[in-house]
Amino acid sequence: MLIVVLVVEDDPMYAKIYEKKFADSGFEVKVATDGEKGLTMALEEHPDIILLDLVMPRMDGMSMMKNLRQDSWGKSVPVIILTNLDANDKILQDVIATQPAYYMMKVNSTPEDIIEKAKQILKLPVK
Amino acid sequence: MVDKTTIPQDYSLFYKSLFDNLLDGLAYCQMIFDTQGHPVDFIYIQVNKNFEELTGLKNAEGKKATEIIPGINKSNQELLEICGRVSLTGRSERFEIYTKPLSRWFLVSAYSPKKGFFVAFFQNITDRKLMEKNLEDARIAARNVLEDLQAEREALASANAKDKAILENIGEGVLAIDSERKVLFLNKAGEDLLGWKEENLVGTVINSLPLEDTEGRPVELKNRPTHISMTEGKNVIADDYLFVRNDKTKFAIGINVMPIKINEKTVGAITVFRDITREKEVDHAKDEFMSIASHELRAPLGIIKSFISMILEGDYGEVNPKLSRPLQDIFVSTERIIHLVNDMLNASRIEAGRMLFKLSEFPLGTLIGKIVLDFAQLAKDGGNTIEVKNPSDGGDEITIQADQDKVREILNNLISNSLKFTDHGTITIYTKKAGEFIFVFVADTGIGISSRDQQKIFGKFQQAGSMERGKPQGTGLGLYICKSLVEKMGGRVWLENSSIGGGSVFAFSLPQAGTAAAKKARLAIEPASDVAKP
Repeated sequence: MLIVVLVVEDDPMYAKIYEKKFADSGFEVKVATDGEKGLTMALEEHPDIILLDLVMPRMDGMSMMKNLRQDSWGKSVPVIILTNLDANDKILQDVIATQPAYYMMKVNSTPEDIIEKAKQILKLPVK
Repeated sequence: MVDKTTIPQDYSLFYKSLFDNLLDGLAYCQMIFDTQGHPVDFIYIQVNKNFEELTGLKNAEGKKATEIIPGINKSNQELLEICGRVSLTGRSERFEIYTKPLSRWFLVSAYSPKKGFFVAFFQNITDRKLMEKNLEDARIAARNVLEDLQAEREALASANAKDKAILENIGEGVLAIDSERKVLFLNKAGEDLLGWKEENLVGTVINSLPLEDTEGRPVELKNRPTHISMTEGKNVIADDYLFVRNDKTKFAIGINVMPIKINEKTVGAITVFRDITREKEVDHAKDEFMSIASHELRAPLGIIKSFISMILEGDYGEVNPKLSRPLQDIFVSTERIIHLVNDMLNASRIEAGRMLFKLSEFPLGTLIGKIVLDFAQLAKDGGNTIEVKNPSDGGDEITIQADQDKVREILNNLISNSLKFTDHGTITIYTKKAGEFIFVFVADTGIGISSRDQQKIFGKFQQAGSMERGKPQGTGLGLYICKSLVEKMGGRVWLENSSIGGGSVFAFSLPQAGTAAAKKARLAIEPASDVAKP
């Protein structure tokens, strides 16, 4: 059974990168382009892990995270926050309070780093 | 009343005895006038017994006044005028006069028995005059004292009025409470801000006024600034609350409470407050700008970096060996520009005062261990060794108070610098306990820094150059950021020593957890921390 990753990302370039990287690594990838769609897809499809951007139109990552954590399934699903906001940003500090599995700065990570982190969280063998 | 029948028949004897025994002095004189008719002198025709005693003049009879009282015509012109007038008009006069040549005061009654002559009855009133003078002096002194008292009272009243005027007209709200936390005073600005009149607030317990947190929840008593200030007797600053006016409108209130202590006992408090809505808006705008800048500047760089790294990983198929080198170069350049953007955003944040510090207490040794491990490969690539020297004082096990991410950033910066300027050498990291602080040293065996460059390396956009290596790669912001971060966390950063060819030792200090230095740093970063976390 394929491991499902939900990528919630409004920037099509980043979405394309994560989609390819995770698909190439054997994941089934679903993409949502804003927090609203992301929340719906997450609650309907129950992915194994979510990659979540923060700055997005309609519903931002922070709001999606808050809503997700209200749900009985959503409260424990591992979420990796991927953002270009740094730790000095109040938003990021607020998001950390919602207990994501991890947060990474896009600009300071490579797709390889993200895959490794996701596998580590899902307790999958890292190559 | 004298019975006329008892008056003796020999009148002249009777009057002579009266004349002689009179307690007053008596002199019968003849006026002397000059050719213009001005009184210039008089002759004592007859004086009684007491005359001598009262005036001190002997054998006056038959002599001119100017003869026995030299200078009287100069000093007592007035006396001559009066006596002259009396002797001519026949109208009696009564007057007090001071005769300077005799240094005596006299009360004189003069009348004229016949034209050109006068009789003067007089008393020596020098003692009375002296008494009167003393009395007058005392009266003046008393009046002066009273006037002084009055002046003092007025000065005090004016000072009070001045203080009151200052308090009234000060731009910030000022509110005073007594030991029972009841309002004593509220100035005009305070009235305008709070929407309360002083007279309606005096006597009210301060903690009954509505204060809300940013989520709109009432602030609990134990978190109220005045409560903390009064119970703990310390200055409390809070800038995270909203005040709710009578008309239910709210404003962001900046509060500074100072306890008033008399003999170590808190007897009240002064609260100075102001509307910080505008400042909050500006802060918010700054944050928003920083967020947008961070996001928008980094997003495309992250995309470039991701694509190149995937290409290099072979995710898009095997890389043509001829392209491998230029792709590596693009990757390195991308990393450089990312580093630059990160540094510039950090420097902007520092300057805008929007750097966020999350202080915690953690053992420094563990963090150093992790970071050194991260650098192991990079060090090896440059032919360098990186090592941690365990201190003998156990300093690495001691818990410090700092923002862990920031300490990581500082160490990353210092170690990267060392690696950048060291070729086939060693980077050593070690710690040392120093009072309330822990010192961290990053020592290298690199090219060193000239004494001229040592002066400026902690400034913004400053880099030490070197002849052999040319201009180093970097932003020149690293040490500036390190300095700002360390200082904000209560420590300092310095160049321990360095010489050309002899390597450099950079050092920084951070407060040990639980020390006064740590507390001071925490208060500087989170002034409202006492309020938020009682």
